[in-house]
Amino acid sequence: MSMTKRIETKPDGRLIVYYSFNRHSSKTDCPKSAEQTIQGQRHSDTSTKPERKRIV
Amino acid sequence: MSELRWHPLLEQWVITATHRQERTFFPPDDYCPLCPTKDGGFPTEVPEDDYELVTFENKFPSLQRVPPAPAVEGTDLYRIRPAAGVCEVVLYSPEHMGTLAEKSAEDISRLIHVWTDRYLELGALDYVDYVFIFENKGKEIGVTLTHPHGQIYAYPFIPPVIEKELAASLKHKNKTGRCLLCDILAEELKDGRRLVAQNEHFVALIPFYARYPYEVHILPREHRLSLPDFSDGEKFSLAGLLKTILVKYDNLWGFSLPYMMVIHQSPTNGEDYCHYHFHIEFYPPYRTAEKLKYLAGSESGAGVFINDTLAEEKAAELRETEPKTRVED
Repeated sequence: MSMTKRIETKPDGRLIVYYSFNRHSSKTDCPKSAEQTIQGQRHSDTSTKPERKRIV
Repeated sequence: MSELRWHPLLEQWVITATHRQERTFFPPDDYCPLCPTKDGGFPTEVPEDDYELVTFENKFPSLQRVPPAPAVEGTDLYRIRPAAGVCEVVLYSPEHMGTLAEKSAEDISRLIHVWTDRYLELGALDYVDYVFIFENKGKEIGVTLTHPHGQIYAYPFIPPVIEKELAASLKHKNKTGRCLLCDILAEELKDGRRLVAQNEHFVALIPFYARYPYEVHILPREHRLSLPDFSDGEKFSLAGLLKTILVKYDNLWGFSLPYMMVIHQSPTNGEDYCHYHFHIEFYPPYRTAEKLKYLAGSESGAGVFINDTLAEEKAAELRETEPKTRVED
């Protein structure tokens, strides 16, 4: 996972940290079982009513 | 005003933070302080007009990097300390509506990377002994801003619940030579009735000793102390299982289930806690679709939880909730 962060100071002195990610690198080093889990769950990304599936 | 007051009977710190009485309370959807600042719009907590994930220091913190002097003087009996520490807000998304359950596992994986970075950065502060990452979700839990977010408290002491778990873990290690939570996980896997879901690296279960009806814990199969111990693959695996549990919660009764989600991991005070074991705990406040579990007299006054349900039955119910899962031999 490629993550970058930018730290800024707000006018009142509080810190704020912006994180950004390489959108295409997150599945690097992904184990097979986790990849299968993700594929099964893509159906539920917006509806929270996922396709029937079995996780082992 | 903000300070730490010692509770001599319970031997734990109480944080007073009177300025939090003024914090933002259910602002209208079009005036959310956690949304990005739009061109010509009112300034929010995030000056940029877009972001992926953001953390920032809470405007109404219980703990501060430069704390004010205590409002009163302490005594030998009534000890007092400045409320040093950090309180951060973690924004999951620039979109005002939605929940963590609706994020993809890839998005949740990114959040886990942010949690890891904050654990390392805040834990490195010399006045921080423990980095506590958590999410309060839903008005039933007392959430006053609906924009999807979590929080981080960097305490100047080890919180009492963690301290108790550390002591029990050390006692078990000294007695058996093994990790307590490794043994608990082995017993749960052997029994199987309380398992909810699992994958290559993590197991989700309602433990034998659950205090809330739908109290799911997520544990790594391997002995890990804290977030930085996980590989990218393990973080991705954790994200997948978190997603499964969150979706099950929302499908349980057809509404977005409120919960407290807390991460228990090794303190950051520089001492060795190899006897401890990372885990995540969920405390949903509902015991049925219509009834809340209250922390009443026994729970609040005596510290004795009364669970009206059996963990074995609730785990089976969650396994049958979409996405369905089953116990593997």
